[in-house]
Amino acid sequence: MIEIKDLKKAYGIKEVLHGIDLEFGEGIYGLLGPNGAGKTTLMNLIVGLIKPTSGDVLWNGASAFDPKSEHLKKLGYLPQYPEYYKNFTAREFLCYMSALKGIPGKNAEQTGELLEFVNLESDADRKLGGYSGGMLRRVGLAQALLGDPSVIILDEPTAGLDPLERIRLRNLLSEISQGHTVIIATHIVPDVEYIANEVILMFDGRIAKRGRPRDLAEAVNGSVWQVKTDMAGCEELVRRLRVSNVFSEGDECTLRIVSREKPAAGAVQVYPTLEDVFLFGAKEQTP
Amino acid sequence: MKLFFFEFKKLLSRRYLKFIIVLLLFINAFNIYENYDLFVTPELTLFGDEYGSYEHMRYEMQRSYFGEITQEKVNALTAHIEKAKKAQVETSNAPWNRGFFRVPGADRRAGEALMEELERLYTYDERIVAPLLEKNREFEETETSAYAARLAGRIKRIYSERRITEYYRVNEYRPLLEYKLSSLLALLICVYAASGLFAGEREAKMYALQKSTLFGVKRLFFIKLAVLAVFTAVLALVFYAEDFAVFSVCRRPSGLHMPLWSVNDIWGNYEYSPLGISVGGFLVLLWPVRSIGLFTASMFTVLLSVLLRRTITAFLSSLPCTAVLMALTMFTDGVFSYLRWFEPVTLLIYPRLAENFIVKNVADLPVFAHELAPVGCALLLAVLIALSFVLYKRRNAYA
Repeated sequence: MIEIKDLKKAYGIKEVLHGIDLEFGEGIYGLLGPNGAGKTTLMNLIVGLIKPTSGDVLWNGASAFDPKSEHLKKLGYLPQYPEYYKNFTAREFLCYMSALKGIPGKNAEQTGELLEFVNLESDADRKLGGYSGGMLRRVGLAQALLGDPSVIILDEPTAGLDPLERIRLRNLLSEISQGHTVIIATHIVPDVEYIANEVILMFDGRIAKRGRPRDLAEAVNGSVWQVKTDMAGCEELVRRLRVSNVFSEGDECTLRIVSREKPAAGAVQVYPTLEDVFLFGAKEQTP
Repeated sequence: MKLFFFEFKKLLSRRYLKFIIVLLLFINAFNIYENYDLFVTPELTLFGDEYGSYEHMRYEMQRSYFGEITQEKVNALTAHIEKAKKAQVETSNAPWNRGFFRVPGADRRAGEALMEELERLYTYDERIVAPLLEKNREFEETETSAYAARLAGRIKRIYSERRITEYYRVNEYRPLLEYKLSSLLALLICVYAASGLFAGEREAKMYALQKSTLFGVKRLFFIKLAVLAVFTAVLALVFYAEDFAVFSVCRRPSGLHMPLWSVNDIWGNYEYSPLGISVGGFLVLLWPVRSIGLFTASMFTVLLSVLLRRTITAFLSSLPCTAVLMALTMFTDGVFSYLRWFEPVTLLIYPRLAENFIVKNVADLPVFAHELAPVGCALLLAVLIALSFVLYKRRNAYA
């Protein structure tokens, strides 16, 4: 269990996290927020890479910032955009990370298993410099799983990947979530929409909402509309309202709008998706 | 051990490193050949090369007198010089075939130089030891402090048994002992290698990932330093082995077993050296001493590598820093005179161990220069390591 208690972080006079309170147990948690929301800062604080201005992060009751803390033994972490070592093969890299994590020497079997799990066994002895973005992400996931950590923290694990690679990675994460705490920080809604047990919406260093994806969607039910209009009307609505999608066909366009009030005559209510919830939350944060 | 192996692999994988090492080894060898060679390129003499170059002939003459300096050898050499003098006068220095050289004049000059050298070696105890011990005795009688008594005792112990009874081409080791370029080239390579030690991790965006692991801070830091230390020592060994090999071919020195104080230079640095070690032993000792100097000088680069985000920035920033370290070795007066005791580059470019002895009073104990400099350097090294570690620990993983 990870508990975050009134966590604040400021860089100079700029406060980037304003009193965050959260708990994480078993399951997949999606930390969703736009760029600059403070997701990576929060991840770094949970891992213990940086110190908070105030507040604490407790791993089973022990502070992550205590020099004697043993939370790193339970942690598998994948930061944003690592580039790895181009001259290492995947197998060598996993051996290197095993050594850094203090995993006992005879781990060749686990390395092989993990490479198989992430579908890189046939490329295990190729240099990482020749890997695609998706393959590197899978190497990153494999190293995060070394030593079977109970907590796995992934920061933007699918950024830059094509849809097929994203789906593959999502499925892998689903497979490993049993008996583990998996926290995924992302700004890509579909990454967590179908696999997260709980989604945490974050804007401007604050937690806006949290809950199961279904419950979050239900909470904004009645605030998502679909409108068909001409191009002039379309431009006016886009300018005035929060539009989650625009589909143009000929002289007509169909808009999906997030709004508490009916945005236009002819607008029909539609069931919200998590993306709508995200946009609704962003709209509420914007004055 | 595994972590050490992987970190070593990373260091060796630095772009262009292997190429730079090979290139600078080649430049070093070429420099020695170009500036110190006596034998590889035969000299064209005025009298043709029927008997080989002048240096070859001189070498043959000297070789015939290698070993213990005996009265028989001295007599034989004297007779040869006299014979050459006579032939020079009688035949107006026309070519002859009764000596080592083409003409008697060359035999005479080389013979006289050789005699001078034999005398210098054989009279070492009269020229150097006896006056030194006499001065020491006077010093002991006039100064009554505990320090003076210890110093006088040390000097007596070091110098009283010194004798030289053999002759070899030991002076031809002096250019090797004082050769600086290989150390400076090795330093450049070490600076280049060290610049990527930590900045490279930031460039690969591995910093945060490493710091999130159990051994990614303290253990990794010291393993990286161990890797750099081993790399430095091996690099130094390769360069100095090359120096030894090329100098051996170019100068044909001999007498590795001869005492260090049998080497001659105009300042008497070696003749008065308190270090009781052979020339060969000193050459071997220079390796760890210079390695400490190289490693300590590289630690300034490591510090910059911890602070900066990019390898190239760390490397370029290190160059003026290294240049300052080199420039400081030129200042020996006033406050700068204390720098020599811990300035790492001085260990590289001066054979401090063999210095005409400078003694310092350290808590009433007489300590020689050769004992102080490596210790001072090691202290500086400890400070740099501690500072680098503190900064490394505190550095924001994403800064």
